[in-house]
Amino acid sequence: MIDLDVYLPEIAAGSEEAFTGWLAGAEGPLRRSLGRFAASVDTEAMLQETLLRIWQVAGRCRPDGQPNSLLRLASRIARNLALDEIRRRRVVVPGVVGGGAGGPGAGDHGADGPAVEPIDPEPPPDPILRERIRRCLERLRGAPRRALLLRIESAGGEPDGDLAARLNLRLNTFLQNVTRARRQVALCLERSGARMPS
Amino acid sequence: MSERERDALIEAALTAWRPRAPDGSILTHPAWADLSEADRARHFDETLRARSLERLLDPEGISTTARAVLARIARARES
Repeated sequence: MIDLDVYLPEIAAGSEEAFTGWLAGAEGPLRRSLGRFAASVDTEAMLQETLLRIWQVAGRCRPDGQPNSLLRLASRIARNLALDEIRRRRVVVPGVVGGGAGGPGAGDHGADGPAVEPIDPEPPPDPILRERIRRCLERLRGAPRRALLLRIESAGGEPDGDLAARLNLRLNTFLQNVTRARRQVALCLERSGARMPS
Repeated sequence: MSERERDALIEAALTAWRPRAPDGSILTHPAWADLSEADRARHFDETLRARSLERLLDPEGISTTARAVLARIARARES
């Protein structure tokens, strides 16, 4: 099994390079762990907040002899952030203990609260699939290509309205082109006999 | 809401960009807030696929979500 705790000492010492390595294996499973909250909270916002907090508290994470202690801590933080948001927004999530303000279990989800589900790191991307996707991306043309590449390059640094303006597109046109580009890449991948992992 | 409008909202919320509160905390995307529960589930699935694509294209194997977080950490260090 992959143990992302190999990065922990360097992350604790402030290495962004080590944190990048940890993120490569941790983001996917952490996002999937938030799936049960997807109808109630913006999981992208929850995940980013979780990752920032992990960077801040990594120095205090003490391995417990089991692999992936930092990933398990992140999973607990993500779940607790989601529960806090659900409580703040007063939405009821069926099957989620503590869902809804003042409901059963409210306030019982501290760091030592109920155990979270087991979580395993993501394996490194398949190099063959990477190459196929790169080729599919090369086949994209025109506005869909420009819109998707700009969205990826901006990496969440700017709102879509700013990106659209840079391409002289209306926001809706920009969004349609990003969607179209992603669909074309998925279709190209299917034609090559592969599928986009999720 | 038409299907095209729903698709646009889902795509808008697929970005890794998120607004920030004055205290620096990360807020819900306005487009996500306008989605129905069913469309939020669809948005979640689409996000999984979009981030997988980004990871596969990235030389270090990380998505725009991870890049956004790293950029934020770098900015905090500079200030």
